[in-house]
Amino acid sequence: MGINTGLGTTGVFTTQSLSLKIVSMDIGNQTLPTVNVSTLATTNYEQYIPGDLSESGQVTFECQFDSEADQIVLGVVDTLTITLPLAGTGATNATWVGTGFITDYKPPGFVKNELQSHTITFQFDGGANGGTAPTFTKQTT
Amino acid sequence: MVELKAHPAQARHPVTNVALFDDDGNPRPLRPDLRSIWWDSVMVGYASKAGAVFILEVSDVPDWVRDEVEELVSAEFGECPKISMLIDSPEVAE
Repeated sequence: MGINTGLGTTGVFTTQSLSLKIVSMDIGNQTLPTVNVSTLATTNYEQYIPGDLSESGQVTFECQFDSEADQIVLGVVDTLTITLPLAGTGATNATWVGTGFITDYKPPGFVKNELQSHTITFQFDGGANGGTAPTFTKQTT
Repeated sequence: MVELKAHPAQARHPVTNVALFDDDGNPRPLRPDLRSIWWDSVMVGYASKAGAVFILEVSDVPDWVRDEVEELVSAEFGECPKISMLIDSPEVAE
């Protein structure tokens, strides 16, 4: 069994060689549209079938800001590897991996008695242009 | 010991989405162009032609580990343009 908390999860952009000091991460939703197939002969409930293509989702990172790191670049196709912490007696970490690009960047605010943090939003590209659709690989023992 | 291994993400069949294995039963890598960095059986980062990215803080990576990774990545990809690490936590930052 591989249950665990979020502590120890990491996020890495390979192309930019960017390792994020993450405070929190929301991996977003993968959503599938529905198609209404009800007719005038349908009874009781609306009827649906699954749509064809899922949205691959957006990942949002809140990170500590590193004033010695390079400027975050929007729109550059990169590979995101999210590495989950090992649970139990696991040998190889579970990962979420996919290509995409940063679509939104909120630089840090500057407030006394508060750490500087910035927010990055990454859109998975679903495997466009030979990329890699978001793929979960389970932990191995 | 520091070594490079295949990236842990496993390839899936493009139609059936079933996880893929080679003839020896090993997972087929999702991204053959990427590597994972291991230090004494613990995965500590990733590598590509763009360089090495540790998932450890700067203060946790000794110079000799950094140097070995740089050599391994250079041998694998021809060069190691960049090495990144996590910034140190504020209480240990100099």
